[in-house]
Amino acid sequence: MNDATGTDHGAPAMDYAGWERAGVRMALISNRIESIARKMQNTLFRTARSGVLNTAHDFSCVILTADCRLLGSAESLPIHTLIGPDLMCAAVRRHHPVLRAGDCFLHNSPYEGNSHAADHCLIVPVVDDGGTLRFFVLAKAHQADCGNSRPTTYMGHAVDVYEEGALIFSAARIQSNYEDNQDLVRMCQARIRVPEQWWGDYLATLGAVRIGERELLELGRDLGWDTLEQYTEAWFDYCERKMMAAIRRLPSGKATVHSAHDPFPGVPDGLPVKLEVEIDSEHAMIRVDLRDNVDCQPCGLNLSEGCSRTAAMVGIYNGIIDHSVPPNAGSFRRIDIQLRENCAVGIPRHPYSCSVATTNLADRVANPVQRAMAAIAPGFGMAETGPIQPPGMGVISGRDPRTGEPFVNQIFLGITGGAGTPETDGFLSIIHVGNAGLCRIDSIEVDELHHPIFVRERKLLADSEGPGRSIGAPSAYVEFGPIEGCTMQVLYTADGTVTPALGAAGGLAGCVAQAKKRERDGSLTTLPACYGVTLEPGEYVVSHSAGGGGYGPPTARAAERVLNDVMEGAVTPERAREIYGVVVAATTTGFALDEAATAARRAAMSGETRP
Amino acid sequence: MSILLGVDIGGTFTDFVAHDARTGETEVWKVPSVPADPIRAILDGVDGYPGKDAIAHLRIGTTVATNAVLERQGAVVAYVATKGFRDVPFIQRGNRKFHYDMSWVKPKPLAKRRHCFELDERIDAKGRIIKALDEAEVRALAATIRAIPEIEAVAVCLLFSYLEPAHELVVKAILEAELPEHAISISFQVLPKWKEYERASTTLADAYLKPVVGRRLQSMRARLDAAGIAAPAVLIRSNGGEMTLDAAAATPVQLLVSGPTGGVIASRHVAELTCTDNLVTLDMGGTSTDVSTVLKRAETFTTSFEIEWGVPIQIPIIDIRTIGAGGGSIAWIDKGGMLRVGPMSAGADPGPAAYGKGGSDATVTDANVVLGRIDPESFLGGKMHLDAAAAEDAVAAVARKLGLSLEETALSIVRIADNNMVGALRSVLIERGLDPRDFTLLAFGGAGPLHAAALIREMGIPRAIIPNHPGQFSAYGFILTDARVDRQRTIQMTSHAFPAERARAMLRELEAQTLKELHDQDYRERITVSRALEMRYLGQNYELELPIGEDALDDARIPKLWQAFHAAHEARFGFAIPGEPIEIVNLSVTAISRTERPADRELEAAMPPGKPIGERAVRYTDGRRATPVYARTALTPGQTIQGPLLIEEAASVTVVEPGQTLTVDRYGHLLVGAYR
Repeated sequence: MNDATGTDHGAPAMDYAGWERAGVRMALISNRIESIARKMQNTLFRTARSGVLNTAHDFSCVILTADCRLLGSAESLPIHTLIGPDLMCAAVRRHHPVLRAGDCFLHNSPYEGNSHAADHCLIVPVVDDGGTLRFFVLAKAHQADCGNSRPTTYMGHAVDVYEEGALIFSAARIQSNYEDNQDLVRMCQARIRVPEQWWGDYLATLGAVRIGERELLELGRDLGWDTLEQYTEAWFDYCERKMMAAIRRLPSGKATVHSAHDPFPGVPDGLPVKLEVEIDSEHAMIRVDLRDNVDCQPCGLNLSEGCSRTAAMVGIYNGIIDHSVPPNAGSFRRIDIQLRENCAVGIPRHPYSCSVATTNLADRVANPVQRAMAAIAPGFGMAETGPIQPPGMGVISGRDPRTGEPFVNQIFLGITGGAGTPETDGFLSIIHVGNAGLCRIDSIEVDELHHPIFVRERKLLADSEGPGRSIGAPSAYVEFGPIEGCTMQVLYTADGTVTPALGAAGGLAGCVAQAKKRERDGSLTTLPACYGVTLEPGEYVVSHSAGGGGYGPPTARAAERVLNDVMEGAVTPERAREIYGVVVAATTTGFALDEAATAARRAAMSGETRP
Repeated sequence: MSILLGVDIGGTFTDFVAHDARTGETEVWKVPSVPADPIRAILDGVDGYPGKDAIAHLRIGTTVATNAVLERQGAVVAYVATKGFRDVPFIQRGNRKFHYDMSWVKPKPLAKRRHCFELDERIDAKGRIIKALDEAEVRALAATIRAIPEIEAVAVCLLFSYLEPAHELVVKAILEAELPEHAISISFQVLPKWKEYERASTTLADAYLKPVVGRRLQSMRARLDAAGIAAPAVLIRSNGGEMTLDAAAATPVQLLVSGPTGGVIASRHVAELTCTDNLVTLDMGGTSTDVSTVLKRAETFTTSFEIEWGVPIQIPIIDIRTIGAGGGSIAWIDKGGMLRVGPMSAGADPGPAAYGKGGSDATVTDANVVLGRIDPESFLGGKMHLDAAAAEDAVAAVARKLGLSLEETALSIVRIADNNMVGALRSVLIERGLDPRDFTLLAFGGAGPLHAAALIREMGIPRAIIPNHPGQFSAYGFILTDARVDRQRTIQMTSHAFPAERARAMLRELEAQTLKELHDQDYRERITVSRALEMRYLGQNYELELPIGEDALDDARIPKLWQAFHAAHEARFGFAIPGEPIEIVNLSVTAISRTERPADRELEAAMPPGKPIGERAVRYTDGRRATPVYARTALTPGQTIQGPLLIEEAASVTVVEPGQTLTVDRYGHLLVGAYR
């Protein structure tokens, strides 16, 4: 990670001849690499069988160098990709000193680089005609089921990996000479609840890595492996320079920030997180220290090493507000994340469970980094993104009365969470901070066709935004249950029912998440935050997603924008007055701004807050 | 009355192609567009045309619908949804254009939330009515809408209406009776396919466009009449077919991709003439480049078009990808020290520095001037004089920042622009499982012929064709269009227990609808009907389209269908899962009424082979070379010339690189390929 030299803080030298200096060949080759990663993505998306992949897009495809550095990733989830693929390829090299064309490895061990057990990774070493390892391609796909002891891929309450129950694969050779190892296939089929769906997803994922392998081999033959290697180094240097330029726009400074995951099974008092964030503008480095935190806990929330590092880095890439910096091993040289072994937000110790490592606690690392950056560097950073996962993105399971077959799948029906940024309102369906809004929200018609569920209502809630100059996303409300003849379980792990997404730079917190059950008589019962609810026909689960925090003081939000929020039903006139200091009057056709009253109200509010 | 006139209204120029069936002559010209009043340019262009009184038929490619959406100039729309789901247009489906740009703002839906309403009705996933519509509630809603004076149109999208349209049809009837002044669009008629957000977005666009498109088309007809142009006018729709003005006003969503389809239609025609099965088309203009494919001599279609990011329009549209790379694309240096080109463009005004209209940024056109590929004296057939010194100054400014020579910098600019286009070509070919070696590049637009030679070299495409009239090629396509209607419908059937009779009945119904739509516009001749199924393995979410014959659903032939799907999946994705249930998701039917085709003229073979009209020093990757310049009009059929050479014509310049050969075919197409 921290492989900057520490002495040479200038840009790496560019000693390429002629127009190479303009980056012509580099542009050419990076275009090909991106195209290969995109083609891998397309293959997986278009052929996968489970909704979590082919509808929600919960997968990632990446290309790494032979020495396991991240080179390119197309439309991939940040929490899947920044750090982790490198550690996993290193595990493959460690366990298999000789790699051959035709090999493919199944890996999902969170103790050796993977995010969490539900993300099955297929790793193919790209070996050239002469038998030399040139690259790795890796596709990571979230499984609908991974053999856990309960029908969910997020075992928040599991005290350890044994209770979690997932099949754990450590660089298991699932193909040799392009042929499947049927022993491993049968193992998966025997232990995964939806074996046909798993098999279809395996083929789709395998298709993706094999296409990536084929294309890289062709690229190497086209350009020559040496040229490609030179390019790779030049590309890393270029990305490092971009990152340096981005960091140097920020002032130097340090901030200590705190966050906490809500109380969950195994952590009855919640799980506090403390981060030291340092921006070193002069040396163009950003450092995050996560070592002063609790040991691994008897629950599924512990982070894997990949997720600990990546979560902090996601906060950094979001916070520098320069999306033109390619996130890869080149720009990573300007980031230093300090972790310790046996830490809930560090390097996990077997057999502690990391079942939920990609989301809940990871968000409690990424979000405060954004907030810390806003504190150090005004105009940068972000507020916090809404925590997950409410029942609206739970895992549903049962037996489908229409076919008699069992079903298990994660749905993405009602999640929002976008945080306010220095310039813009939060992106509505960011889903969570590690996801960057890449997962798709489900179509109600498709969900009702594919699963025996009935969606009663889905809407955005008024007065649920995170107030700020830029507001955080509002809460989504969704209510759903099983169809006639079906008993359905909904398992979910909702953080944010107690601790909301905080605002930054004077912005306020987003609204909290809620989980409830609507009984047959219409009454509502509050459900626990981490739970599996069983629903009979006529019963529904009610989910409120957590909203995003606001950025900047709400009283700095332009009055016209607040008026528009009122007109669009996002904010009530009362809240406009109380929180934003904007007074609107009802008219025959809607609302109008009362400018004088607004000026007076805002003046009064600034007096209230003045020290 | 023998003249067929094609008109393509573009952002900078309005192009005209006139074909006289009596003489077989084709004439092309262009006039500056008038963005604020596009019809003005049509009248201007026709006004000076001597054959004006003999115009029998007018075919127009229009940006009226596209611009209305992009500039948000459409109607205020009320959106009507099933109770509990009025937020569907706002929640959308997620995904982001830039992953780490948290301040990226997604385009807004075409309705305001304050104008979204709900009806207490529900149809379930099997198409059963589980909560009946209350007509009194619909009438009350009509009153609510009437009370909001700015609302001009209503879009209705109820859950599962593609399975059971009864409720939407009743809502439409009541709203039409109660709100006779409002335009009404219902999703079952606009797009009877699954996925409520995509269907809602398409329906909203239709309603959003109806009032404005209706008014503009009315005004266009009136102004054509007033100008003495009485010939019937039709518009080019997004599927590359023509449709009457009335039909366009009734379903304006069909006009969203109008003009660019002309180039693809003309490309298909070139594929037929030159016996070329597969073309990849490249239409490079001043600010953007459109890329498309012609496979097995047929244009390709998409139903996942987005007018803006996250605003899907899911009717069948010719699959055209647009990237921000053109002659006006600006060169700049990013923070990592790398040279970049575009997507910012100098446009037509001020345009490239060489235009001498005050632009100082170096553009691709400026680089081409520095490299000697564009002759400042003969640009646009000599109608526009370019300022070579200004082009050099602009490129020199970039060169200083890079520490490179002027020529190296100009070459780098062109190569990076080429690379951007290679990216677009790769995305339509390689990423869709197509092999560039099976393709011919058809390059047109003012700038396409300049870059074709480099692009085929970079892509490994064996050959490029530069068609006649490359600068007016889209308008040329319009004189070749047919009337075309596509209808699609989502059905949910699987290969296990396939309800063949229901599928056949649905297909017959779609056929009847497409034919009626053609008949209603008075197209009754030379009609052909084609059919296709969209299929996938059960549980997948992406379909493969398989064309089927008229008898493909006969009981005896059905097993062949499943075999064909397994084979197509294997070919496209590298694996098949024999024995796995196959889902049939959509049926689609296309009816085409062929129009009269102009005869294609062959070049006079008797002329002596063309000789160079001059010579220029042109910079290539390996250095400057003396390069003969030919006038395109002087080239003769069968003439073969080894590169390097330049071919100049009024609207463009074709580059043939060292190591490549030019051959002229009997229709005058320029064929560029590597030495055999």
